[in-house]
Amino acid sequence: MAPATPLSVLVVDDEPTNRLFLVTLLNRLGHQVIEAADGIAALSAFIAVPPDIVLLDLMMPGMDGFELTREIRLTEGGVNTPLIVLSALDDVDTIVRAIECGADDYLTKPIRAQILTAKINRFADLVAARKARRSEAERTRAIGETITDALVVIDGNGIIEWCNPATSRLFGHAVDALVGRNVSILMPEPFRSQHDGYLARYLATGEAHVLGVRRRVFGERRDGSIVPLELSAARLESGDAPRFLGMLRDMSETEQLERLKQDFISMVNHELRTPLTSIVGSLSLLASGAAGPLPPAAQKMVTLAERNTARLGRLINDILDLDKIESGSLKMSFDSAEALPILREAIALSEGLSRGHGVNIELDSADLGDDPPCLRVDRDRLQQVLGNLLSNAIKFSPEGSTVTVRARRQGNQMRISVIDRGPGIPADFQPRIFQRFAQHEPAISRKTQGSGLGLSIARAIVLQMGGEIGFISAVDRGSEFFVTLPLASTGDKEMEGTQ
Amino acid sequence: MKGLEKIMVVEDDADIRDILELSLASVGGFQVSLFGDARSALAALPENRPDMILLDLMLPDLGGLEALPLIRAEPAGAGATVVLLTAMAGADVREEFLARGVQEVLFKPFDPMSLPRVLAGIWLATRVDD
Repeated sequence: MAPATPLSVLVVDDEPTNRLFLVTLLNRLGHQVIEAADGIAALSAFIAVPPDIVLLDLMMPGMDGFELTREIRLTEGGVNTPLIVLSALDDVDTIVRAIECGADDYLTKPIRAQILTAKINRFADLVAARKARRSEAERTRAIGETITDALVVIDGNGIIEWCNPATSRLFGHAVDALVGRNVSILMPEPFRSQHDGYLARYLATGEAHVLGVRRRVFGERRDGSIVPLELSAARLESGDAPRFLGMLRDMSETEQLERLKQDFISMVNHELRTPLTSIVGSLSLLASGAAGPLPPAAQKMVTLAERNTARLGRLINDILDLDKIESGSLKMSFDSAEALPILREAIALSEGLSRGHGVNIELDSADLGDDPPCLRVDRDRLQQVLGNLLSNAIKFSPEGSTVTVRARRQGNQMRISVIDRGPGIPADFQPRIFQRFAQHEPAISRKTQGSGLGLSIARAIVLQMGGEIGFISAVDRGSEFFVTLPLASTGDKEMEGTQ
Repeated sequence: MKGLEKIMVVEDDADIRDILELSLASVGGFQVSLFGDARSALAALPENRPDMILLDLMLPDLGGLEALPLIRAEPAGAGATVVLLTAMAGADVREEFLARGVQEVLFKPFDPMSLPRVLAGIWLATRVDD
């Protein structure tokens, strides 16, 4: 039967019959055997390829078993290798001497196969466990050395027990100079002075601020410079004393990229809007006859140019909104506002587009009754959402049809719907409709214009106002996009504020 | 109550300055003086004595917001209605600028045909107490 782990066994005996017996037995157990007839041959075989276990005779010409044992223990790979002495000598002094030379076990000849088998199996388990530990340790060491993040293990007093080479690269201290020091030397003030207290408080109360979450912190390098870091910390559950592992990632580059992106966005904003201002202004003055009356053909072209600069302006706004939404810096100013005037204004602002498409817009607010409720919203942002829903509805409406804007009370919410009689939203597009740049048709074959940003922005705005946005659509019958928004409570009517 | 007559425009983009001149002088009929930077506008302030200053946010020498306290420090600028004109987007920056002491914030691009009416409206709103 093959053992769980086949071992390589070095058999050392000057008597060929003894070797033959051992080789036969070990082969039957499924182990590999290397033979040596004397101490010198055994030592060189051991150094060439260290075996898992050594079985050795004591009385050999030249280098005997005692000396061989001592020599093996001095080699690099031989410190922990199980050595079993097999000898005809059975006096106490010899056995003690063999063990003092470094032997792990002692069997007297004649060897009984069953006992040797049991011992080999026992040592095989130890060898396998040791190999597993070594490979795990090797894996851990390789991870620690390869990972580009700094790893630091501290004890309950904040003293660094271990850290990896990346820690040294990040902070400029040698690994040896860090081990044994308080981890607070890697922190700038005021964190440096606070860390011991924080650790003590955690150990006393279990109140943790950094464990299990990723946090932006600052580190101080050896040269005194400050570096932005992301810290993940965990409590290590091995051993009885508390220990903690901190993983630190250098965020300088990420932060620099974020700053670059912000600068780029502001630059693009300013550099696009400035020429756009001149173009919009010139066109408006031209169209209004400020530079003299225009012939009809020229008037038509100016109108066309005006429509497209307006589109460009909307795109710039959408891109900036998107950036604000992504960075979480979309600010809103909440007011208590009557819904109907906002709906009427949104419809009025869409009239140019609806006329162009030959589409009517009707307002259905019958459900609201005589005491129209107020919403708690950012007026301009709600206007933007409604404008987007209306422009989509108009663009997808057949000529001569009507788009309905309907407002209904739903408990302590209001549901505002924009309903068209268009082709509906294809089933395969529905799951993607609120995604950025979502367009059903590829850009090249598109019949309707738009960046595909509108609905994703609308959704973010509605969510930030504490509402919901959704749609119901049937192919060839039309779509209803709805927004539900919280009603302002009565106390809100007088109270206005920003948030 | 005195109507809006004299407007000082501080705008570094020459094309936009031309459009503002057409809009405010030709369409709006106001007396308009044009400046490309804040320092020359500040220097002209005592003689110019405008009712309203239309101030670009981003100027080459002094930003509009940095120029504001200097304008307010001049007797001729202390009581003027200051309207900030900015290419920064969004109503969300408006509150911030109003808190800095300008009377109104307008965003680029603007419509030159309606701008005179808009400015007249702002003038009326800021002069209610006079």
